[in-house]
Amino acid sequence: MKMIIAIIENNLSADTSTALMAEGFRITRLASTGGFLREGATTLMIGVDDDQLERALEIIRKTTPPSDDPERIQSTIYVINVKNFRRV
Amino acid sequence: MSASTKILVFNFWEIAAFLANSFVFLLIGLQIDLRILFENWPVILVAIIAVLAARAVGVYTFSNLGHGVPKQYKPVLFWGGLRGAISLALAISLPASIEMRSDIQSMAFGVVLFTLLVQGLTMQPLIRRMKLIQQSEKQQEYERRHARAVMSKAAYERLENMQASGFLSGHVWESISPILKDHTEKTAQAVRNILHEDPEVEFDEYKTAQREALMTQRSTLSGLVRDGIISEETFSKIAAEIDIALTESPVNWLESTHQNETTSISGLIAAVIQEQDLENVVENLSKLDIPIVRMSSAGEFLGRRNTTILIGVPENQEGNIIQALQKSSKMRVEILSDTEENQEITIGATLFSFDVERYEEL
Repeated sequence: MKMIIAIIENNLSADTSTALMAEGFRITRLASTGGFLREGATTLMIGVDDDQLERALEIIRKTTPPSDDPERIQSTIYVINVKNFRRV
Repeated sequence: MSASTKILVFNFWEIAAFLANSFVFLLIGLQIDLRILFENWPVILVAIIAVLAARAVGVYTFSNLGHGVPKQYKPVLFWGGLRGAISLALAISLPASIEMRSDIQSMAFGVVLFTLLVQGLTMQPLIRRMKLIQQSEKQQEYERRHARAVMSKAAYERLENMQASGFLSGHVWESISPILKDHTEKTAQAVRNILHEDPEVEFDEYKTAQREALMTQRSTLSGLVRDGIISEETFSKIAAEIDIALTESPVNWLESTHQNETTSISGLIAAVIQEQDLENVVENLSKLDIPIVRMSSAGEFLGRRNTTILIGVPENQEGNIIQALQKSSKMRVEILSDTEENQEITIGATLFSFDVERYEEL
């Protein structure tokens, strides 16, 4: 089990989460702001099975294409190893 | 020896020493003619210089042996060599047949007079100059406030006792007790404030507390061996431990108490909790004394508001935490009617746990 923490530019986050949900991923959204430019950013927490990880990352990459402005980062992705996952 | 015997013996010898001292000085007063002091001033001067030089050599060379003596204590050790009754008694007890007897006696007398009057009286400025007594403004303020707090508490308790035993009428007590109580609380609060403001003052109080705690342990231990509850052997073993603790710097003690407070965090749980369950979860976790951080979040599927909490997991506590979360977030099955096919979904808490490589509290 892995957890993806994706920090995504506000305008794009809706597309990303719709696309992910269409594939059956479960997402939790956290309202957040970037520390550097203080622009609106959305943090998505996505728990995925190991074999689903690449598929999820692919969707995020596809929905957050690099912008014309090279200074502007559309998404930041962290993948963390989950020691234990459960629903209670 | 019991405590009261000890005090008695101690006082006895104190007074015996005082009497002997007074007797020696009385004898000297009767024996020595002040005029010979003035007549013999060159030998006295030589004697004073010799005594000071000898002490300087002794203090400054031997104080470097072993653990060594802190630098600012050395001048105090050197200047603190006061001479008294013993030198005088030895000089007086010289047989009359010794040729230089009167010279030796006047040297001894001169040295004693010099050490007592000059060295003795300049000791305090010296100690202050070497900054050995450092009492900051804050510490003095703390002492004042502490004294006031203890005083007003004692006053309150005394009057309370008087009222209880009928020495004070209920009417008077009722009118003054709120005032006294208020005063006691205010002074206690003032002490707390200053302890909070200045860590050094707080540290001093820790030092006192540690010393008192250890001294009490030691006297209890002496009581045990006196009453034959423990053997001599056990006594000396444990007494040695206490003595080591007494000489140990209280910093270690303080740090060790602080360390026990912060348990090491070995894991992190991110739990996504439904809003209805949040209150129960927070309550159950705070019962376990577990620190949490709340973030408001939303589930993307239902678009429903929920809360993500980050939980620092102390070692061996993971099971308890998960149990608490299980208890407080009931698994529910809800039927969604607004989707195309009536979909059954389960709502509860979702937990992700991670290993924490490092944890620091700053």
